[in-house]
Amino acid sequence: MLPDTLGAGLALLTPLALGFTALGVFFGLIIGALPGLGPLMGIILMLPLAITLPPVAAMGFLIAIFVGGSCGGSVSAVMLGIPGTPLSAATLFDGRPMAQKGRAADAIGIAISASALGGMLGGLVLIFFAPKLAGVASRFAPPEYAALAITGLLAIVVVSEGSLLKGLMSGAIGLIIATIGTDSFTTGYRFTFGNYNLLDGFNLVAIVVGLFAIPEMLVEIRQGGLTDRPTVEPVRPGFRGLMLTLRNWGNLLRSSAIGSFFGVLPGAGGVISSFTAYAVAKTIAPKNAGYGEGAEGGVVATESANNSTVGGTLVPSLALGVPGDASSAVLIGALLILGYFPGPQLFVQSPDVVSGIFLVYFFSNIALLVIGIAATPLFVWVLRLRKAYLIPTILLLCVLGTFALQASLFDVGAMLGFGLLGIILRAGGYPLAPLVIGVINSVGLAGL
Amino acid sequence: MRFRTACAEWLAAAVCLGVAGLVFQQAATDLTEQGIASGGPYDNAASYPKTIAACLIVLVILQLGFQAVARGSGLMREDRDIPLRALLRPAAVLAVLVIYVFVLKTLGYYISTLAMMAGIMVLCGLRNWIAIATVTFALTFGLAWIFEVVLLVTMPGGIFDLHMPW
Repeated sequence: MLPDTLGAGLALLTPLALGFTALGVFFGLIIGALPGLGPLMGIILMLPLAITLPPVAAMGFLIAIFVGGSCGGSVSAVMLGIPGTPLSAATLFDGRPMAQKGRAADAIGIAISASALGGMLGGLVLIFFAPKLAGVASRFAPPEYAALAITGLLAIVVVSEGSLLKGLMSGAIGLIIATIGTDSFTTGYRFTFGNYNLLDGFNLVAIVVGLFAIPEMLVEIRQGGLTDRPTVEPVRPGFRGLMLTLRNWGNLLRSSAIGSFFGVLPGAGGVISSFTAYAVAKTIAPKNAGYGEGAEGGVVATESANNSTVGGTLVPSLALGVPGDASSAVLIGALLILGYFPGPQLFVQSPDVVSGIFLVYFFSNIALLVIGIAATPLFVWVLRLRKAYLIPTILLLCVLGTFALQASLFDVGAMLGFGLLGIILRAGGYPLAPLVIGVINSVGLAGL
Repeated sequence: MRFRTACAEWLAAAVCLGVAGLVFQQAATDLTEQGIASGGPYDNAASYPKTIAACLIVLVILQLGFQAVARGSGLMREDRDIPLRALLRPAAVLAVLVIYVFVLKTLGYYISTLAMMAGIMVLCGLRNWIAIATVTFALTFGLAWIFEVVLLVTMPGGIFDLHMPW
């Protein structure tokens, strides 16, 4: 499929798309580096801006945030000993000891290089597997589509952290929320309470921003340390990290393969893949390799694995419309808002857009390598920002981003309402990602 | 005073039941009045949400049942107690945010945002007024410029009809 549509996809690779992809990597690295935030929060905050862009530029922007955010956590893991995201937790094992031995620049250089190269290898999996999977799925008839819709619901099960029952309840609330608005079969109004703002249902952006961002900020406030300024030494990595990473090429290939494999499996995710890749690398390495004490191979394994997971995660997301994790669920939501239905029909009806998405994914990994290494001093400086400044900024971005969609204060109110719902559900131990998957899957399920 | 996490579980279960109850209430009133909650499965707009709501009720009952059994057999992990004092600051920030959203239309973007930003920074523990004022003004006007000039979104002017002549 790719050779046929490569030209069409290239045509969509406009300077705007490339520029926003680079911007996405930059923003993703920053939000990934800030402890507590991560790629999901980055994608959510920039979703309102992205959907005003052409489709490939929009998806490039969001995917680039996913790519940059998956790597950014390694900066704080190395410099502060706190992983910016759970994805970088395994990077602590060797990244932090490297920094303590005065090799912080090398550790960050390796983390960024391994992430970029691992991401590209994950991209190959995306390019070769996604069209094949979509090709099989394009021969689906209504019974298979019904099975696919139910498979989509199974994603609720795999992204449910903690209690499965609570995950299913969260997903059921999502399915009900999606029924608000005009019923497509009878054109009657369901659950609108006479409010014309609800005729099209709730805006997905208001749902996602409210559910995730508001409770997260309140949890950050409760945890305290809002006025603390972390002490971080300046660091300037070079492309030496790339050479060090390539010296571990066997480890890089193996860990990227592990990451891609776990990415394709819905629910497995980058955290499991990075820990698995680390365990495998440590087992295979000679006893004197120094794993756990600052081994370069440890950083290569974890970072290449978690970034190659991104490419793998996009395979079922694009080809079947089945999200592998919360971030890809929001990406599917973005595609829906842009007017494209993820799944086999996307590959048949809009192959140029699919090719464009593949190409921006690759470009985002190249941008990660260049921007990541060149701008690391800035990301390290960002680590010194106090939460007391960041939290109101993020809350304001939530309000403005939601308002900007349709210049609607109703959407802002809805965002806040979903924030309150998110606070209650999160406090009760209910996972929030299934709710979003429920909202997205309701489209296919209601038609059964 | 302390807040038990078990209370949050009950509250969330109540929200789930409330949502399911609302579906049945609307199906029996509004949807019936519209004539879309009657007839066979193909012309019954209430059947799908009612099915999901019924599933939700079953799930809530199962969850509460498992919880009761686990608590009775001692398998349930200890409830965590959070001091109410620790929740005051997040609650105050949330209150500021709710007030902000409510007054946004009346006071307009600039007045309400300046107050909201400064208020949250103070609640977060900042006391350097020069820094608070600088960051508040920079973010309020900087983000407004991005949204109004770059994204062509007009911010609410409020009763004073305040708009920047960018």
